[in-house]
Amino acid sequence: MSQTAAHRKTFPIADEPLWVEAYRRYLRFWTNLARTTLITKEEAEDIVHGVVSSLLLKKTKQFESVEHIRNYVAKSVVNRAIQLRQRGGKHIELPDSVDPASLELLRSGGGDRVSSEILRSIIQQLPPRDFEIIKLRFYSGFTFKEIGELLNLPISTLKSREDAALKRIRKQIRKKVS
Amino acid sequence: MDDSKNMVRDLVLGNLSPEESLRVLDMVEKDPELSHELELATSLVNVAAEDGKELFGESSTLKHNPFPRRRAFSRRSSAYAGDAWTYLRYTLAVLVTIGVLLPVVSHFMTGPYVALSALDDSGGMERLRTAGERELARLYDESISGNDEETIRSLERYLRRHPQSEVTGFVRLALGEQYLRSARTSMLTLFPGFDESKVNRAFFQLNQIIDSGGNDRLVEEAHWLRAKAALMLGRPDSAISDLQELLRFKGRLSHQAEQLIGDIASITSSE
Repeated sequence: MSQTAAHRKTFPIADEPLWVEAYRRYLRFWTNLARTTLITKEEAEDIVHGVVSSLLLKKTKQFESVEHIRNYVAKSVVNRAIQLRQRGGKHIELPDSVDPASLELLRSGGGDRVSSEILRSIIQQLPPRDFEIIKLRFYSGFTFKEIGELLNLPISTLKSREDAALKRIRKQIRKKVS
Repeated sequence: MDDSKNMVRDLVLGNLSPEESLRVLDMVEKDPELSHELELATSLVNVAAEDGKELFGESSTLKHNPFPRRRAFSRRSSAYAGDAWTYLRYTLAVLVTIGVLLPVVSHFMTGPYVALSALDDSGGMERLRTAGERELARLYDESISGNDEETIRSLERYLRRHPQSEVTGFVRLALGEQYLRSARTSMLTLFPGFDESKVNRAFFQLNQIIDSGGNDRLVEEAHWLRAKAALMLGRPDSAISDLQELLRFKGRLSHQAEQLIGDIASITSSE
């Protein structure tokens, strides 16, 4: 049928290595950002997929690097989440029809298990105090204020501990990668 | 700098307000060191989410944050500010504009095939319920209790999470039908028109079903809905080619297809 092709919108995944990498790396980050407006996880995911889908389909924006995609999508996601909140959460602009299987490919595409493995082993070898702060912040998702209330410690101490732990992790990564 | 790094980590963890997030993102764009900090924090969040249970162990007290999240967004209302007379003049101006523009706009927007494009109450999904796809029926029953937009969102979510499931085709059909139902726009019920982007989204889903060429009944229903979608956009030729496909199927929709081809032909010949 002649009109079929005109209405079919797809994007070639294989030609989008930057997107595959960005999606795999930053999906959680983008979703967390959308959730800062206190919307549900599902709504946050809808927003992220809406932004990603429309950028992939319209191709009006050229991206030079994964970081460029990261920042651009992050800002768009926050702006859309703000708009949603201002409308009282009643309406989310639906994404254009990107084939969900393609999004699934983006999610599973690439593979960075090696660096994940390195990070895992570094975390496992952290001293107990560093391990605890990383666990409370990045696994349990507490703010410094909340951790301070839980552990009865001043916020400045906790910030220093986190800085020290991350410095140690960064140093270990450099050592393992080199 | 350390404070900026802390803010970047809070950004990744979703602890900042949207306005603060945008400000920190600006800083990240300008400062490669902060960009690296964001990378590390993102990797930690990913590792914690993927392997956290194994890595950090079960901790019932700490796994779920007991603290209520702070209100990160200030709710603002934009109330209309003006006296009663200004408000009345404004309202009248809007009404007059709508009254003048509506017939003109509807003349261009409403095609002659609008009446034929109406979807019957017992749509394709209703007819397919007897086909034994219980999971789909449950999903559909759940979703129709809400409004159109919510239904579409839950079906889109289902497709995103289960793009290759056994009932993907059925969900696509439900989604296509729902897009068409919600595509109808009418002002004061006088000048029906259609939201083209929604009709196109329906086309996308229906094309996927037809192209995949799976279950015959699904494909049949998809052709029927695609014919309706074509009529919504005022494309009788496309509609007829889908309806002719239905005649070739000789299935349960062929009689209706024949009738609709006749109706389209009578409108086309009188134009």
